[in-house]
Amino acid sequence: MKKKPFPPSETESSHSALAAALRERTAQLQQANASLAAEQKLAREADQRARSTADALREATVALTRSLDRETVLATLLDHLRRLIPFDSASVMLLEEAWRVSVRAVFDGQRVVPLPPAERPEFLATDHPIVHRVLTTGAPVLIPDGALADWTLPTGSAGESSWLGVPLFARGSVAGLFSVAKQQARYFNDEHVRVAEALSSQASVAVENAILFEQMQAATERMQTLSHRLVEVQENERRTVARELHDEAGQALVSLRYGLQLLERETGGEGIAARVAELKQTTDGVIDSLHRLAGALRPASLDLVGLEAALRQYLHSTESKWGLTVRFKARGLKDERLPAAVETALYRVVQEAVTNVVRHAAATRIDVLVERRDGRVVVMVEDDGKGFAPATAGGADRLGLIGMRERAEALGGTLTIESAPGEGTTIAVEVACGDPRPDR
Amino acid sequence: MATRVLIADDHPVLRSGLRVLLGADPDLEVVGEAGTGEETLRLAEELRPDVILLDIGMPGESGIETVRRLKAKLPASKVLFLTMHEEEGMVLEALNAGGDGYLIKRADEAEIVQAIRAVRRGDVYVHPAMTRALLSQAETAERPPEPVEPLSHREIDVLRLLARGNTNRQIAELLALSIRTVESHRANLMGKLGLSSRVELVTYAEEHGLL
Repeated sequence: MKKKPFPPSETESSHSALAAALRERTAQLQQANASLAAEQKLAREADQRARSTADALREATVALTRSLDRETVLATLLDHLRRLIPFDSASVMLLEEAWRVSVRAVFDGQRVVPLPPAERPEFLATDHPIVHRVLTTGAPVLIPDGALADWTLPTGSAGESSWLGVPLFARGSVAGLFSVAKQQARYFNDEHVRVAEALSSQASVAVENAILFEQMQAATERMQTLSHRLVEVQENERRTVARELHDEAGQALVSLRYGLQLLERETGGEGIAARVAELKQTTDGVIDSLHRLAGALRPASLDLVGLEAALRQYLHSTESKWGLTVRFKARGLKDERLPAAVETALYRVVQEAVTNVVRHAAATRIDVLVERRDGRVVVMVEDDGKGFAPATAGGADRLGLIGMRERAEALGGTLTIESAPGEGTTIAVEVACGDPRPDR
Repeated sequence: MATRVLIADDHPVLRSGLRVLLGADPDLEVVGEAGTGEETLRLAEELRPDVILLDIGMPGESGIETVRRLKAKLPASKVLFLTMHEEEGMVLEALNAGGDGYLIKRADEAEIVQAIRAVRRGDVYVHPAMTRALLSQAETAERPPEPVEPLSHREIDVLRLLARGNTNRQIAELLALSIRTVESHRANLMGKLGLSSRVELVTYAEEHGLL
């Protein structure tokens, strides 16, 4: 738009009054405009801040739920807190049993450091009134000027004046807290408290999950230890009972048999001789069943001779019992015994695998291969039966497979199953066997 | 001259029963009884029996250990195992360790006497119920047939890895092939060799120096 000056006239004075009014009005408008712009800027800034806070919170949520490891979760929490609230020091503490509080992660001025179990400072919540208040009230506590208040910080370097503690919740109750501190007095404001609380509520789910996961892991570990122990106890029990049957009961019966033989020789009467012969037969029958029982519990050859002999015996009896063709080959076992635990585990795995084949596979042959090489031993049980889709093996099958896997994993080994409907099954167990048997 | 026998067994009742049984035979003389491997070695050196009747399951070292030590010290002494163990693997182990015979305890007196005479003569005596163990050992030694058609290099690679106890998946990874390809190589090479199982395949690889 082109500006045209007013032409000079006799109404000069009225013109100048008008001009003045116009100037005044323009100035007013300009001022209003400026304040509007300032307001807009403020609003934009507030909006941006809110948005970046929301972004940071969202990112924190994503990051927090990415891990189930408690220490990682807590360190992530502090990391994201840094982007939301400036601080000089910070820490995350969890409430343990009996009002003990342990520090899980700290900010050391440069970075967030998760603390391993041995390095966690611990204190009693009741020794620190401020921490105690956060934990008991479940509400944030803001100390604007530590120099004025009568309180002590449980953590953080000396000389900090502003302190903010915000509770962390898990399953509806207080699980711990995180705190931030700043040297400058009266640094933290209501906005900071709000943001910290928002982060805390985002973190709660992650902390809760991490705590549950930690508990579950501990429980799983206990279960595994127990299950290994159970296997060990069962094996020892079997060994003892088998030996008892074999050596004590068996030998007593053999002695009895010798006595009968003597009696047979010394008695003249036909009738008595026949009765003694009958008794001898009965005795033999009992000795036989004792052998079978003892061998089924735990073959003596597994202790006295070794895995190869024990497997050969077991597979031979399987062959004649079930009418299957069983082929067996062992390589590399001749020179030196495998560790006793490895021998037992592999024997039981083969037993389990063969039992599965007999029960479910409708196979005509089973191949068992034991191969020791380069400090490792592989056992393979292969059949030509109907096979299965390994992912869908259900019921007792599944139990058998789990048992085998557990035995392999207890020795730090692996169990592999290759099978498909109609294509037979191969079960392979591989374990390290570096150490020679220490005794025997 | 009567055959001098040492009885080594940890069960006194059994030893005395055996002593009475054997003592009735004019050709046999029980010269001593031992309850442990250690005692057996000592008495064997001291008494120089012709035949030692040796139990396997004794406290401390097993009879199998004892026979090794006995044979190292007194190579001329004959050792006849007399044991409760009827597991086949045990027979091989006992004979490999240096035993001259293997008898189970429920053998009749006549058989025990017969076995003692046999080992004294220098023969090997194994209780009839246990000889199958020796046969099954011979079975596995049977030679696999020669291939009707030569194997390809890839098939030989697969054969070698199969024989070393690798699963199809492991072979696929090692040779950078698909599992399907490995399976078809496997089927082809088994067909060419006329083999039907993993153990046969291992035996074949062994015989042909592929391992």
